[in-house]
Amino acid sequence: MDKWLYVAIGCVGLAAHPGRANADVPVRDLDERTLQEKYHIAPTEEGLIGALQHREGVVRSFAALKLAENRDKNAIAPILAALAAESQEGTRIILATAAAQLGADQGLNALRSMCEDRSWSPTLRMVAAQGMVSFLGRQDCLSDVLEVLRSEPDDHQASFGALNLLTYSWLKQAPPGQLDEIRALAALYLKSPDSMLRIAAGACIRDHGGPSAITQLRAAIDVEQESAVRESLEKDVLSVRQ
Amino acid sequence: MKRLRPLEFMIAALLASAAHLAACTPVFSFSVYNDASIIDDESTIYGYTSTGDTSTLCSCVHSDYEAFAAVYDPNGTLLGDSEVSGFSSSVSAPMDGVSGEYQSSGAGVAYCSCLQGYFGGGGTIYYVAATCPTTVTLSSSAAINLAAGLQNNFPTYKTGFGIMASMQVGPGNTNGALVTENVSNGATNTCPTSVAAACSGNSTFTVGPTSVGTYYGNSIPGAGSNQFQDEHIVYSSGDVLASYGATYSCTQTCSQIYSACSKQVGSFTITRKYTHSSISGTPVTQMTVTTASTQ
Repeated sequence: MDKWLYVAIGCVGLAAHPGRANADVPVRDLDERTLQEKYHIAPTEEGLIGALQHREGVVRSFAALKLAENRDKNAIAPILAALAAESQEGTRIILATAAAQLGADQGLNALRSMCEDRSWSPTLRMVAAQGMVSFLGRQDCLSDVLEVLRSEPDDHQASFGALNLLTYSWLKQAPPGQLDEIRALAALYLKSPDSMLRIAAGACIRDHGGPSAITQLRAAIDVEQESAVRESLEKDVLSVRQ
Repeated sequence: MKRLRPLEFMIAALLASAAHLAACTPVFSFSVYNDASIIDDESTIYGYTSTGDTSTLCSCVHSDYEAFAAVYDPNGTLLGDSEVSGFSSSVSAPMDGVSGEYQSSGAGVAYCSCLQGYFGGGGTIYYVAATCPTTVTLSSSAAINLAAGLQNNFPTYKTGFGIMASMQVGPGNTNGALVTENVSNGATNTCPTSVAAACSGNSTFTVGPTSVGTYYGNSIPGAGSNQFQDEHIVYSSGDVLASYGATYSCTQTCSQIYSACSKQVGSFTITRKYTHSSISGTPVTQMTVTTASTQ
């Protein structure tokens, strides 16, 4: 794990002073031990369902994810009720994901509508899409991911998240028309002024292959000025999926 | 640590003297125990051999006891040995990254005045299994975003975050194996002094399934079988690029080595990009992170 904590000191506007992080493995926002010790909530069905109404969103989120992980069908109605009452966007995403994991169509539909919601920031929409892809293995938000890539090239965080969702094995099999668009958008981002987007685009092209993939990657390598990007693209060109 | 039943060497000897025969029959009983253990990170194996002499001596004298301990890898390659005077011997040796059953064996000897020579023997080989991964590859990464609307996120933090990398470990079933990391500064650093140059990390990861979790409000599934998760993030309550323009960005790289059973099993370059941006009009520094194998 590579993790740094910067502790901001002094007045607003001054540079923050760095300090080392104290965690040595991925640290969740909340775990069962903290749930019991800090919030005095037992990680039982009864405790977790009750926690869906807790005043802190981090507790509501943990409870929903845990109930879904436990495949607790009795939790569907309480999670949907919590979703209906939830105002915080991130917690809404988690409640909808949990309900969908338990097989509730209402949860799936809610999550899908979050991906589509243009009143949300592009990053939040990609957080919802990440839930759809990584928890449910579904492509329902693919068109929204592509829309963010088309319309938000300057939002590096959202675009990076979108390209990431099109990479690795997140996306099982894109329909042919959308596959062509994925390849075209990735080729476009290969020329982005943002180096991380070029790296992410290279990985996306690598994983989606296509007749032009190797040519595009080689052309990008030829003009790449940053060594980290060039090294990444050189790796990609060696492992383009056929 | 399990202990084997002793292998006993029973040597009955009739010595030349009739007097000895009439009064006392010496019986040689010499036992040898072998044992071994592997420390949690599978970097070191310890072998231990102890001997016991419960012979019926009559008028014989046993002396000059020596104990020998040795450890071998699953291919039979000697990793280390130790021979000392006395009734026990121990040895420690670095493991060499080979999966399978490591072996601890040993022996003991002593001088017998009646035999006018040495006697002794070995013990049953003790086996201890090690699951030594030999490969670590990037399976996928999930973004951990800095955004409004997420719990434990903006505006508490104004610099962050990165990715959760899922690392695939092989070959075969490696669940339960331990993988250690060592992270150091990479070749690139275009960031100002307000951003720390140092890369660090010396975590030990246990391979195998883990639970789902939220990280700064971003929900991320747990690790799968033969996987571990490695979080590459930077966070701060302050905007570390506060002194810079709206779209200023800089990049750092870190070198990361994964090891198992004292052997390097993966090498990665982590690239961290800091981009000055804003959320709802508040200046922030957003992080994007990638990790790529260098092998």
